[in-house]
Amino acid sequence: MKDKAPTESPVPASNEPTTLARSSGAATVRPASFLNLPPAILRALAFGLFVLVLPFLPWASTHRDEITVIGFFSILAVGLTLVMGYAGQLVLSQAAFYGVGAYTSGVLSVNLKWPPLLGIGVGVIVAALLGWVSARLLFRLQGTSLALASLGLGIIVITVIGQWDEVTRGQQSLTGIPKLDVLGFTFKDDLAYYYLVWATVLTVMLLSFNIINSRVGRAFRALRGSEVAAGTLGINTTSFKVQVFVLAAAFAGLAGGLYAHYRSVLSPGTFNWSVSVEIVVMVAIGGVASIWGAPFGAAAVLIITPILRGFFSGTSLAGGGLENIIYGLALVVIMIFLPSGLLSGTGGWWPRLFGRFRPSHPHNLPPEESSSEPVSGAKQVG
Amino acid sequence: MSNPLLEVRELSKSFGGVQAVDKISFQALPGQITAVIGPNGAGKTTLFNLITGMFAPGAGQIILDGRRLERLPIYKIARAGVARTFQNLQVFEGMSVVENVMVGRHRYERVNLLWAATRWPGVGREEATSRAKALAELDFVGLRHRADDLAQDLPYGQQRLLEIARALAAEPRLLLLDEPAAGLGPTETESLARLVLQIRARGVTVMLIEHDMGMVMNIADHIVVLDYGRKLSDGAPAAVRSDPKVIAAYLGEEIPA
Repeated sequence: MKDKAPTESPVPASNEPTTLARSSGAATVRPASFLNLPPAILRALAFGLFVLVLPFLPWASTHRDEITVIGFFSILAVGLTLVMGYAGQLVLSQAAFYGVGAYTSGVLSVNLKWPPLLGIGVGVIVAALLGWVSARLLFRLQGTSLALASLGLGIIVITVIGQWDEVTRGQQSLTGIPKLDVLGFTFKDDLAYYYLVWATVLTVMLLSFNIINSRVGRAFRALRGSEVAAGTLGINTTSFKVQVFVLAAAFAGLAGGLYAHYRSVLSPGTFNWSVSVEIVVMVAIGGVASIWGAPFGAAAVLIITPILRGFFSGTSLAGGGLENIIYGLALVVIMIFLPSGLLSGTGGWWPRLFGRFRPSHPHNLPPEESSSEPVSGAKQVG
Repeated sequence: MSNPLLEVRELSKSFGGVQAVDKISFQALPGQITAVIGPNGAGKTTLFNLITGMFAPGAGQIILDGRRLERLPIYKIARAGVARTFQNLQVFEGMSVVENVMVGRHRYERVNLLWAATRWPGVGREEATSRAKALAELDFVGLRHRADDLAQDLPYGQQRLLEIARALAAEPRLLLLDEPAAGLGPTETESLARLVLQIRARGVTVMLIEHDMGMVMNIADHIVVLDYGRKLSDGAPAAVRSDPKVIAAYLGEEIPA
């Protein structure tokens, strides 16, 4: 407040080349970068280059399948990052939309002989529509209730897929799904599919960055910051919650469609509730509100899990019980941290875990009206 | 006497048997600063929450320039030209200061999800316009030098100013300030008072909840006094100050000139 008039600024910045010395002024001075490109573009180029050469690097050349699967989960995690990290809504149904996209495309191409590309497109639309319906249903709820209700929704969807034998072949697995071909080019070998999936990851990330840095993204982020304040600035909060949910469902449907024509086999277990939790863990590891973090979170989880399983090889946990325990535990942790922990702050839970904890508001204010207003409900906001 | 910008008629709201706001009626004239004062628990914030649509009133009418607001959802009331700040700060964490203010431009922007995702031509132009407007508001409240910092990193007093800039970016006709001076020191309070007068000079009608009587008496054109959810008194500062009912409610507390 003291330097209210801009002219009263204590340091005349114009003839002061080392403004970096002013702690908070650092943001205004960008270090000179390669070819003067903005850091965001540089990062994208570097990441793109990395993706391009990765399949030929020592470890990766023998693990192309795993890295392609990391790609599917990166798409899922980017979608959930938008919902969870930016719009602040914890949902545990991503795996269901993944499954709906996969099964829609798989069923259409196997049972009706539709071309895979069309099937994937329809899968995206079906997942988005289901996302829209469930958003209308679920977004009356908030916090823990929303998380639980969406978990239930995921279980319903996957149960239907698992039991609808005539269409999905249920627990028997849907087999014989054709490889994706686009304009005569068939994505048969692993390398081609690797590039396809990771090009999709990069596209989805680019779209997400564009959204985040726009009116729509600001509305999403305002929802997380303060839903009432967002409303009082003219944001139709319900509409934007539905939009972000539908967007994430569409991304998940896309990942599912690509997955179906990669594996050629689908079984309901792939889209179990625990997979939804797994995606939440990926997003949390990546740093909740970080689109860049999403693929890294996906990679971390998918690389660490088999290593963990290795520790327990030979025990009765090796059969998959371990994952269930881990994700059950993760669910417990998520719920404990839920109200403020997991979703608040920009750095995710890393800073909290490593002690850079900082209260978000100075709540030690003079009590003024807040302590003695007779109406408790009136004080939740404003 | 000009027509009121805001007219509140017989407005009531109860919560579980407690009458938080009880048949309150008053008018806020355009271009004036109307202060709402009263002891703790008088229903001042509830009144603001009713005007901005955060609660549906139990009974009564809220009329902004002839238009009924009391049944509209929050965001439509905002689009009708009402903006506010919050007693318990509601800055958007995780967003920079200038982005916070750009949220205030939401209702003037048109970009939708598909445009935004594909960076349709025109998105960049709209971004630039919003950013320029937001920076101008930050200039107005004296926060331009913090534009690129994270909102939650601002000290408390500056977060209050940020909320004012964000509300002003929505170009409201009516601006509600809920205890803007709470937690501020004397010099900060003084410059805040000057800022509120500058806002009035821009033609924005201001309503203000404030406990700092010195500030209220100095800048308000009109004062509404509430007590236990009822309107106790209503008038020009001098008239309200000498109203025996007001003096009684404040239990003989001296009301500074």
